[in-house]
Amino acid sequence: MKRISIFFLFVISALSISCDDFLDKQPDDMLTIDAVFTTRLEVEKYLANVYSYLPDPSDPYANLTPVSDEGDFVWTSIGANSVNTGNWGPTSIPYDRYGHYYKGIRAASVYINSVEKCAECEGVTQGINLRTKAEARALRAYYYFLLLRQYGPIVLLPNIIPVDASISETTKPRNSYDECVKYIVDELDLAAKDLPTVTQNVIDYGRVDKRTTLAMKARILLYAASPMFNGNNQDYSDFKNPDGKPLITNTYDVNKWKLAADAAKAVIDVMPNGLYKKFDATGALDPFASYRDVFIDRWNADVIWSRPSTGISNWTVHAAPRQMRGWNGLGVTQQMIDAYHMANGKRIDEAGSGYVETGLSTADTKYTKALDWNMYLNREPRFYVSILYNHDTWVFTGASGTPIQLYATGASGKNGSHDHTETGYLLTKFVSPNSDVPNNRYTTQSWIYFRLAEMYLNYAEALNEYSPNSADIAKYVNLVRERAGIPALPTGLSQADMRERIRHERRIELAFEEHRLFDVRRWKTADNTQGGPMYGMNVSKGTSFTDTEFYQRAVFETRVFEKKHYFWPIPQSEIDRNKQMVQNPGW
Amino acid sequence: MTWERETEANIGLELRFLRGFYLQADVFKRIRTGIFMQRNSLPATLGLQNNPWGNIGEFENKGIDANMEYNKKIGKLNLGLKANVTYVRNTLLNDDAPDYKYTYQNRRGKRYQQPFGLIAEGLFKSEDEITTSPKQTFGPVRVGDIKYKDVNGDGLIDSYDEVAIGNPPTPQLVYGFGTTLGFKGFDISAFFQGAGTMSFMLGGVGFYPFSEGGLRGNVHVSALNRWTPENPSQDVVFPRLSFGTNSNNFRSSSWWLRDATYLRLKTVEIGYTIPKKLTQKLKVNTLRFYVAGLNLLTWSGFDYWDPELGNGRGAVYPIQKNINVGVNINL
Repeated sequence: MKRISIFFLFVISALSISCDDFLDKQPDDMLTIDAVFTTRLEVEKYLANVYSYLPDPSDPYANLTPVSDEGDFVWTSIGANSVNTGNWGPTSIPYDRYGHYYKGIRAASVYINSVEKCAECEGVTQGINLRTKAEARALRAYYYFLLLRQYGPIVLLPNIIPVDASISETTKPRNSYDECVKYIVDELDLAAKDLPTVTQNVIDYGRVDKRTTLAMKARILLYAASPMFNGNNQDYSDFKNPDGKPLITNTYDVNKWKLAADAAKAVIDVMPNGLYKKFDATGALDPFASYRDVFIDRWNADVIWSRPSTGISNWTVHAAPRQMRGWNGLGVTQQMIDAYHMANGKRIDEAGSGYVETGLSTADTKYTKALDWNMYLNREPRFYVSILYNHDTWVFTGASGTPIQLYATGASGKNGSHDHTETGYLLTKFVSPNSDVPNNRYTTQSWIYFRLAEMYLNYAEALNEYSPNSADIAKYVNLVRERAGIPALPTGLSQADMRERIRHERRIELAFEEHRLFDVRRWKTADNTQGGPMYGMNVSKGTSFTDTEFYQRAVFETRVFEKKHYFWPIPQSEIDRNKQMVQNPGW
Repeated sequence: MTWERETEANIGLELRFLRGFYLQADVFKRIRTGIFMQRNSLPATLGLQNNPWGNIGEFENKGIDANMEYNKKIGKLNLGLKANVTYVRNTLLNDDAPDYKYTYQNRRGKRYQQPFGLIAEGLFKSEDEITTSPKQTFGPVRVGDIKYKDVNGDGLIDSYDEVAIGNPPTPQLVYGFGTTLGFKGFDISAFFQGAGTMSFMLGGVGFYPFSEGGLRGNVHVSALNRWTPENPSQDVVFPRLSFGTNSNNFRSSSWWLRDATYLRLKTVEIGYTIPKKLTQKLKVNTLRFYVAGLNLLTWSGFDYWDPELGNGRGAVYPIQKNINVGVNINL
């Protein structure tokens, strides 16, 4: 029997299910914003969150020192390696903090808008809401500044944009550099009104106070007055928003220097006790201990604002040589070594400096031992605080004076491990003489964001530009030099010579504090210093302390610095999402 | 917040013909809208901790699904054949993402989990070739390293040159076929399973030799087949090896793309049932001895590990090969 059965099935079905209210419930364990701002504990947590976006430069992977000609951190996963070889761009950005700081800005805005609802807070400490609101305002201004110095002109958002806002509200064009500066300064002025001049209670150390806002203002106004942003920068004449608005001015305004000088002087005036100093048993200034302990002794006279909680133990392990069971990789460039003055206050290339480049020393001196290379003899105390060189001893007082072997076959040398310094030097600034790496015992240390010596140098730099005959210029540079244990500047310097002296002093005094890479940008000198060959000692050579082959200057890296590197690129994802956003020039 | 919506169009066909043939086939197209997902279009300047969620995703699936059977008794031989095939092609219609700078990089309009990567053009043969080629911006480049194609023609090899390469790791084509044969007391059955249009990218610290330095990681035996100055061959598995990670070579590219198409003998079973007249004496209804195997044979161009794992470093619990020997007794 033949049976063929055929049947077709033809179905078009459209399914639609909808449900309105069933799922629209607020879970009991989730706080609404209004609920957060009624309890003191939650408000304190929220403020801590606003603070939490501050950077922690004691993390060697976040620290910006190796992005400058100051140093080189050896590990390949450190972002500086991509930056220094030019292998970065809008889709791969080392040290990208763009979204991070905007998160901090939003958190601060929410706090500013809501904190006054907290009656409970006010009940415990009267006036606390106004004060912490001002703290959040200052932090928001500082986050804008951190964005501004890294990414150039940015988008200001004075109001919180709701998450369901329309595209036109969420995609804003950049503000001009001067608008950003004005906004930040105005906000800092506003915050200052409700803050105590100096934080009094120990428990509040690390909070923003009025003095902090003054210091922030001094730094940003110095940046704004600098050549990069104060006229004479034709490189940026085409740097405009889509509507044609120029983002960086081409007009020089000498008054910007006055504003910067006045702002720095305002900080100096509220800190009449001057720089932090230590004295030896005879009552004489001990410049070595003074400079070293600025970064060790917490809340000392130099400190304006610091971060109380740091990863300094982690930093110390990365800095310590392998002979001290450290990771041996925070290197300092030869360029930086050469920058340090001689003990007589002269630069190594100056006449009468007494600098000797080669040869082994034969006798101990105050800071050196026999067999140290002559290059390191008779240098200024800040050099000995900050640098560990071959045959030097480790900072830890219990290290029993073992000379550190940085030559190729040495116990901390290149041949032994990929944990080695590529420059033949290790960075010892910030390392406490009481931190014992092999036994995992570390001093608690702060990371200083703002300190008085910077304000002295800011003041001198700005004053020299608009009032070059002022006696204050040399006075404040010399105060820094005095504490560092070197003689005063020669008198009768021209304005240009003084400018160079101030910049040089700044390079040394503020070395490794994340100033250098931004200073050379605002001075527009980065092209000359940040690219090209970077030198160290010849770490591939040397079999003993007396093997002089090690002490040959050698290129450890050839760095790439192009015009576009004056700013970080804006993340490409941001350019894609915000059609009003123009990319930084050259990227 | 609401439910997703699905619109489905489906044409089905069911046929029985020529005494023993059976065919059933479906052609379908489903469009799903309002998929609950995180928004992608908000700029970072908003400073949101997490992007908000919404019913914004849209997705299309279309394909064909068929199976066929044939059963026939030829004398004392019972023959059964069956086969099935499913082919689905999906398209991401909307993921709330803005256009990429180069729209060929848009995920929208492509398949779910479409891999992206650079197009490898071989290994550099000389320093000259490195200097005259577009600059590769991922890290230091030396002879023996992978050379990539400058897709956008800007003289730089960077992440903008990454394009859709290969197929998603989930197979689009899945098929199977098998047979059962019965002859007197013997029975044999076998079933094959196959998958096509599927690929994956080799990678990960467990695959790139020495990428974690000498301390951790794994070196696959295929690392012997590599570029060396003595053997500067292009036809190798690995480019120049290096100690520590190599950001030029160790990145998604067609060099590491592998076709994971496979066909495997999923199950096979041979049995023999003792004739009833013998077993009834033991008061047993049926007594059957059998040997069954699972995953015994695999045919694939990829033989480092099981392609069915769909994994670029093989770090997934493997599919096991099984042989069972057994007796069935029905009382």
